[in-house]
Amino acid sequence: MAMSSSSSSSSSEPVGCHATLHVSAVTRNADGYLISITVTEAECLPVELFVFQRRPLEGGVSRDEFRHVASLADIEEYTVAAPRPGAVCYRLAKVDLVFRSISLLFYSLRELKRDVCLLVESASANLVLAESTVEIT
Amino acid sequence: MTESSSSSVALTRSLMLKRSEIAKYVEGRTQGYRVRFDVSEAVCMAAEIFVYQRSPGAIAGTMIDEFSNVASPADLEEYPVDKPVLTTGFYRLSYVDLVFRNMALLLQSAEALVCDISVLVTALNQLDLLTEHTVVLTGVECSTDISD
Repeated sequence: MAMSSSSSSSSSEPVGCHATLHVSAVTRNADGYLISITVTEAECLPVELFVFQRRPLEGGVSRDEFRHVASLADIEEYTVAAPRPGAVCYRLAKVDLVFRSISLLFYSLRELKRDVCLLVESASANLVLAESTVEIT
Repeated sequence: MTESSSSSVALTRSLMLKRSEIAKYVEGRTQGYRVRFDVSEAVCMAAEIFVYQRSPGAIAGTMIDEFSNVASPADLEEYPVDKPVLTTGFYRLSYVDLVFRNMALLLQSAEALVCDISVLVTALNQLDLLTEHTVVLTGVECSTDISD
């Protein structure tokens, strides 16, 4: 294990949205550098923040690939653990990524944390709602 | 057979909606745009006008509740409030909470929702305007085929 750390992100909004990421391990093997990131806890958000896509392959098998950090709309639309019938995307709380170099790993980790920060910021923004009244007769 | 028609007095239906939507956002940076409608007052009609559907999730034992549509008059009669019936999974709530990918889509959908609700109120009002018929059965129509 080369690194074990955790980080948390929160917006500057007064509301308490946040997500805690746990970077559990970075290991070097023949394939490159492996990192495992888990959302261990989140406020105002589910922990399943990582969007995966299921791609069908020949022979009836499929391959699941990490796509991106979920947006709020993704959280509403995509199911947890497996895609709904007819869909391809779903969400998980954990992602394992393999990189060709350690510099690419750290760059991608920084980008991923930035995306989670944007999501937390968006979740906080959606807790402050402007109200109006509509009358229908 | 004789017929007569007349119309009954229409009720004064109305709905008061509280619309809540994201107040502060940065287009292109904010990753979701939320709007919520609550029926705060319903006169001469049910407040639970938003149809939701409960369906099984990907994980065994979990369920997903999703907004389906603004109720039609038939939906108001058929679907229960707060909890679904087992056969269809449909039920009704007095609020709807939605998240969109951009503000333009939010505004477009919110406008369509209000339009659908307006159509519902109009449809319910139209149901009050009944044409009455008096049907007198003398037995002749029924017995004609048999006697011939």
